[in-house]
Amino acid sequence: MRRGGARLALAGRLYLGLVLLFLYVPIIVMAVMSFNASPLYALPIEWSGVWYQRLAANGRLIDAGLNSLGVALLTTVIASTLGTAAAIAFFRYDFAGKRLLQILLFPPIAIPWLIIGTSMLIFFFWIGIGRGLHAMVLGHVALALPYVIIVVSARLKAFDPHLEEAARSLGASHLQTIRYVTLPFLAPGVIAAALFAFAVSFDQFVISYFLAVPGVSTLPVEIYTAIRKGFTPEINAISTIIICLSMAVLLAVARQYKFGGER
Amino acid sequence: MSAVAVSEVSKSFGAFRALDRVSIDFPDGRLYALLGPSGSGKTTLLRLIAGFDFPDSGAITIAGQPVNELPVEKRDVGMMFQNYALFPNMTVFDNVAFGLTVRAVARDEIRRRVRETLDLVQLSGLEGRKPHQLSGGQKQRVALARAIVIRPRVLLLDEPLSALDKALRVEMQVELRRIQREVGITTIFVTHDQEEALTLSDRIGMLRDGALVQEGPPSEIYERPASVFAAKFLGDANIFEGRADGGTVALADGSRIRTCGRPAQAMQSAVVAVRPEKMRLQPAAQAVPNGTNAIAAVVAQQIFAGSSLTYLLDWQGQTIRVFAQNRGDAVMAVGDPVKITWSPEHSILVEP
Repeated sequence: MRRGGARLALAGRLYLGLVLLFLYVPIIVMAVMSFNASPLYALPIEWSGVWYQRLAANGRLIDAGLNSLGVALLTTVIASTLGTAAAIAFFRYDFAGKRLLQILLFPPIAIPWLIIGTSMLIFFFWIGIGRGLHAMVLGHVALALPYVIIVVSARLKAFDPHLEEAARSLGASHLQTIRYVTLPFLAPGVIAAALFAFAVSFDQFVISYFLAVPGVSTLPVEIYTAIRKGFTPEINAISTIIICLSMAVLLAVARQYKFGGER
Repeated sequence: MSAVAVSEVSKSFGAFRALDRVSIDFPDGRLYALLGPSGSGKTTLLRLIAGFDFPDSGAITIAGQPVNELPVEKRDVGMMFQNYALFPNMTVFDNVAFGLTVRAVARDEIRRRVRETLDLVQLSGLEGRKPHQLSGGQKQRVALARAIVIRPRVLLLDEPLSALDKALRVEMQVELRRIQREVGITTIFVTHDQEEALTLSDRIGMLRDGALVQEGPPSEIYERPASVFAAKFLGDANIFEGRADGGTVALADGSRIRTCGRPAQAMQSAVVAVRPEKMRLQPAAQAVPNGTNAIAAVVAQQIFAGSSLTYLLDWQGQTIRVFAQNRGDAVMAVGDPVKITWSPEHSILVEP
């Protein structure tokens, strides 16, 4: 039995190792190749920062990157605010149609983005919003909202309503209660939700592709366009920068909040 | 003057009538216990006084001021919750300071009053701890300090000791009493624990099915319960059913019991409650002193608990409990025919 258990543990570790390898090797290869002078990925590696210099001179990629960042940040702020407010409302109030609304949150996650993108394009065109970065923000917020509500609601499930009652019995107004008691408790959930929203937007290709006007696009769209014309290692360079940035943000957040652990 | 008064207060939740025309005056500076089983409406009443819910009808006043329309944050009440509800993201100091901070009290005064209050509950030195670093007893002291630091007009405690283990509970009972006396604050607490109600309170209000069934000082309620329910919920009681007959109560076996207060002439049936510790056992053959009630029974079981003995006796198919101190008297053996005797003043006529 015991020997079987040890063998199982070993198999488990091996499996974990394989999963991590599978996840990270492509990323590591890409990062390493961004420092390889050869555009054809020739080995042995000839270390060089040439692609980063080329990237710095590539206005289109830089612009697209900044657009992406802007759209994603705006989406994050809007979706987190609206989604948190909605989650609190779902938690605190009973109203007609609440259950239906909650159920209606899920299909947008399941519907293929291609279909959502098409319908958004038609709808935005029809009501005069048109295409462009503003349309992208609208689309991304709509996409990110269900994620935010679901993540924040999960955190709220652990919330003790007596905390709000205690605050109010001590003289706190509704706003003070939310500000000093509810939001601090929700913070880890809201931050996780904001990361989700950011990822949903920053990562978004299909819908952005539909809603982009020629010349003003986001990074995924720009990378796609660039690859169609022929791959350049500048894309490796910008991807590496983005990975480093997102890792840094994640680590900072994880240090601040031990998710699921101490509150 | 009463610090808090509720009059003719009713509250329903859907079809469930949680409180039915309850009127109580809570005396100033005293500790009042709302005692009752779950579903009796005691917590509902506490929440109405706090202002978390509002009565369907009736009036609530705090210090003479009608508060029916006031929401909780305007009522100046201190509430301690059963699970303490300490703010997990704040330190002990910030928890206690919360009520002062939202009232925009000056920072120096906040510091001074929080220190004072933490001294009072003997928690000085733990200001910087977070709630999850505290023991159950410490959490409770923080919750209490947080509620009293705002100098509320009334302190409300919801099952204050139920989350603590037995030893800590006794310690905190003494503490609660000391702190309440020192601050002199009118306190209302809800409990289902009869012992807590008896040892802690100046006055007890007993609730059942949303109605106030009896009210008075603990000793009075214990010695003179008004109903079978009151007798059994607060302490132990043997209940005898009989018929009123010429100033005594005739029981099924033909024996007559003299009672404290004569049963009304017209009363067809009468119910008598007797506390088990007020009864004595004697050998069946021994003569009964004049004026003492006596019934013949058989010892069915004896439970030895060190300092005390509990006898279970069979009388007319009914089990009678008798508590005896372990004084080294002759111990009755199982199967012995005995007489149970007690004084008429301990036979309390109660409502069925």
